[in-house]
Amino acid sequence: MWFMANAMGKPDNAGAGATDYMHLFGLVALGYMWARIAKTALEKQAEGDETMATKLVAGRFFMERMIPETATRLAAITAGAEAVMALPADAF
Amino acid sequence: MPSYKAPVADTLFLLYDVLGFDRHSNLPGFADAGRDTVETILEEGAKLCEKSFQPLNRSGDLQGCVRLANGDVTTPNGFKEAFKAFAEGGWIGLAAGPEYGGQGLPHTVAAAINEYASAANMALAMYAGLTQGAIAALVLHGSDEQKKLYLPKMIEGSWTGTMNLTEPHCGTDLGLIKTKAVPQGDGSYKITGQKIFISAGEHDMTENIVHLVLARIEGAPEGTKGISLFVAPKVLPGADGSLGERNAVSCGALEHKMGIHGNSTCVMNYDGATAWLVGEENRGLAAMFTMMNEARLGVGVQGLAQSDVAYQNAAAYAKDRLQGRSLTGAKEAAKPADPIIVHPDVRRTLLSIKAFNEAARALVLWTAIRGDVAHVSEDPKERQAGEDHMGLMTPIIKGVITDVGFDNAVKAQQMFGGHGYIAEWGMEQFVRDARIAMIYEGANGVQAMDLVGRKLPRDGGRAIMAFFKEVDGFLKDNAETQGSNRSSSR
Repeated sequence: MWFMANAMGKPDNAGAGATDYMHLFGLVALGYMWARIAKTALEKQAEGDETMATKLVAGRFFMERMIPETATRLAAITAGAEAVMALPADAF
Repeated sequence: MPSYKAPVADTLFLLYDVLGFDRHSNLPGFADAGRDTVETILEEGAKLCEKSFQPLNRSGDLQGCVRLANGDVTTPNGFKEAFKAFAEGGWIGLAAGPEYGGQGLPHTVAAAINEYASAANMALAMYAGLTQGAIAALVLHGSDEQKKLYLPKMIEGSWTGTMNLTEPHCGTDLGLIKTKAVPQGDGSYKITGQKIFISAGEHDMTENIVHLVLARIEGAPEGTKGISLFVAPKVLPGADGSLGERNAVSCGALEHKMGIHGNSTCVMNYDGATAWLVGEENRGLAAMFTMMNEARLGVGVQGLAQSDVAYQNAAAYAKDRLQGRSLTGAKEAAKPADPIIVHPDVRRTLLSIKAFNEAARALVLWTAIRGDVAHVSEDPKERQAGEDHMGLMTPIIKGVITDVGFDNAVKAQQMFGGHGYIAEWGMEQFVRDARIAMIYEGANGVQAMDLVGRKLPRDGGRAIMAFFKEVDGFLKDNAETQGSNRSSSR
């Protein structure tokens, strides 16, 4: 949404936020995968499969400790391109 | 002393229990994709990777490839035999059409095998991987004559394939390529130019190498609109497929790389090499783009593979290595120290890798299934949805799984302390091998730009909207599911 509002006329906003967006999207996609895995794992566990407990712990770890990175990524994206593009090349 | 065990059980769990792979058994190519058949295939492939590929991983890295004075290149000891075993088992053409000698299985199964091969020996696996890429290009864009001439030999592994795109002054910006193609009047061209970073460009494992080359036909427009795709075999085949003269293409030098030393990465010199157009004139880049999804998926798989083999070794070490005592009192009081897996920071590190790997494997297989369905479904809506998904997800798979996969290899190395820095333990090789996946096949920054600049807005945002709808739908449908609070496991 932020890209739609801020990057159409200012392509640098898209460029400056692209890598963060890719990782943000990746985290969401992986989170969705964990949701689907967890659902299946719970079903199998209910049927007596005792190997599923490990998966459920790993999934919980992902949600508690890895998904929060999405907030960091979002902050970076919505900060826009100004600081990223402000310096002349020879200031690097 | 590193080891590898292919995660066959996890692949099967994801394919059948989570992703419903056998739901598609009515589609062409999926009839043989039932659980029992695929389980046998995966177990056979796993065995080959563990027994033939993995033992050569360290030795291949240490020995590397050697370019002789006459331009021939030797691969590390054992590579030729292991590649031959892989070829003879039918693994190269697992997903290729039976009319050319392939097994006709869904690409999803090939993706699973490629993960095992890459984890066992990334450098060696790439000879087959590049061949699969070249096969795909010819299947999609080759003439019937070209398919008949090249595909059977490539699928059986008698000939390997390469992709020649990059030149010293351009990789990302292929519009700048200078390699030129001059028509000879008989349907063939003569190609002149230099390509660099060509994986598996020259080697001693097969009697021929099929080079696919991007070049600009004399007089064609500048930039991306003037690029054509050619096939330039190392040895010119006669009409009956027998081998004729050596073509004017040679390995000028081997690249000295950070990793994947067992793969012969070459500078290739085309000195008026005979070549034939593949597909349409000036449509070479478009042809490459049709292969982009599968290529990105393949590199993402490499990232996952290195992340997994690194994890396996780190977890084993953490259970073995005795240092210090648990924060909550000695756990192995009879031993001089506790295994380091008692330490929260070690567990945190290992879990962060494990939690990523299992979801990444799911993402890869889910996407591979969508890609297979997109290719063979008779329902145009299903095909479109599958293509949308592929276009959207493959830059993410490539960019994210290789970035994080590399970080994971580094974290796994860290678990070994000083021994992680010592070559014999194998951990630093995983880091060096994993690094390239972030760079080639489109550097990750470029993947991100493709995602944001092209894939998000495409077709009015149709692909991303479909993804959000699917995820939202799933969350709504399952909002009432109670999670388990059991945290012990055995």
